[in-house]
Amino acid sequence: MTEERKAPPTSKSRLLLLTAAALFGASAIFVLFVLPAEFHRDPTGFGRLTGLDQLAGPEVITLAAAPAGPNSTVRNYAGTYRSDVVDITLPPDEKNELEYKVKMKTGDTLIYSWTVTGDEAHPEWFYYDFHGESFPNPPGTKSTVMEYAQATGLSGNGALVAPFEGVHGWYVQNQSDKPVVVHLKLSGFYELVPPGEYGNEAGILPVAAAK
Amino acid sequence: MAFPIGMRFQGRGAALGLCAATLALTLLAGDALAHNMAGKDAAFVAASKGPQILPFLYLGAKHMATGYDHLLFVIGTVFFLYRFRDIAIYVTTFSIGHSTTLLLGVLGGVHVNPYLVDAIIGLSVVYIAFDNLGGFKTLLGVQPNTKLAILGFGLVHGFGLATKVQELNPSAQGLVPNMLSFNVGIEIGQLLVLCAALALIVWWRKSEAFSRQAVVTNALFMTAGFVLMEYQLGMYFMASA
Repeated sequence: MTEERKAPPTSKSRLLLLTAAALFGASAIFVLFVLPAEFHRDPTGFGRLTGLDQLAGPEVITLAAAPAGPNSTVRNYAGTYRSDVVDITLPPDEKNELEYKVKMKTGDTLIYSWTVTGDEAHPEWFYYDFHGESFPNPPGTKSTVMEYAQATGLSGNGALVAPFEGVHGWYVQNQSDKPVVVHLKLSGFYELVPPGEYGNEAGILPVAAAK
Repeated sequence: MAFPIGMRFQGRGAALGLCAATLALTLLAGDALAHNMAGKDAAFVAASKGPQILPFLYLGAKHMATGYDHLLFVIGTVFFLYRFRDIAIYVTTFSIGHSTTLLLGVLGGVHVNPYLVDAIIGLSVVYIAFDNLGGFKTLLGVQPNTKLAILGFGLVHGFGLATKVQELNPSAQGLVPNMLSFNVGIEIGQLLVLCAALALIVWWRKSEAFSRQAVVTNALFMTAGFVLMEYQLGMYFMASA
């Protein structure tokens, strides 16, 4: 049956030695070279010593994204993405305060960034109240207000995930003796409140709108 | 008497071992161990719709000619075959085996775990080298039918080929002619490498040292087979998580 295969005879002990040596040699190559270079495993430290471990690249640990809900990592919106630039001028007189808010549904995300110019020497004289307010439903009943931040300062950057449907935004007040301008940049998923309506009684219009 | 190789071959044996180790390490570069189709070849297979006879023929030949896991097995098979008729019978047996499962896998949609298949392919290299050393007869007193083993391992090698093609999601349009061309290409590539390898082995056999070096070479084949097997098992247990 195997007459045609003319292998030289090998003694039992030599055969065992060769097989053991092959297995040992292979395992040594595997542990010293393959494990650090391919699998991010370096039990002997040989991979670090020789730099072989760099071949494996950065180790990736896969995490599950937080599922849908208040802490969800990924949010998908049916609505249109928009961004707006709004300048709000506040004189140093009795018209030194107003409210500017945008409409958002529960879970909508708004990214905002604002700075105040006009009286940079006195950041403590510009007061803001960042909050959200639900629509009274049914009309005539109480509405809910949630406070996000009440402070003084000349800038703010951040993101808001609307905790409920309603209008969300800022009450701003200029306490200095100079006129100031609030430069507000918005982007995300929200709707502007038409001038005169609840949340934008001052009738502020965006200076630039990009759909 | 027990360690004649280590005694007699300290100088040359060490040099040979170093060469083999260098070769083994060269093969360890990234995807080389998995022997996948990659880059523009993979893109071609994925994008092909309809019959592409010659390109698939070429890809089959290239895949085999660069597939040292298959080649080690084939070279191991013919290592101690002297007559052309025997070589033809053994190689044909292997081809029948791997063609069956290549076509069954891709055309029949049979899916197997590529890491486990490649681990068995590594083991097949160990087996054939061990058999070349007369391992079964010497250690166990029985000689398992080598042709049957080659047919069985041929079936496994074919699944290995199939998983590489399946990874690329080839289009159903023209799949049958494309896979037949790929299969023919595999046989052509195997034949080309086999001719070159046999020419070298026939020349090598004339050397006085052949029978001793042949033992070392087959031990190194076993080593290479074990490394391939361990790598694929590593992929199965560590990387597929």
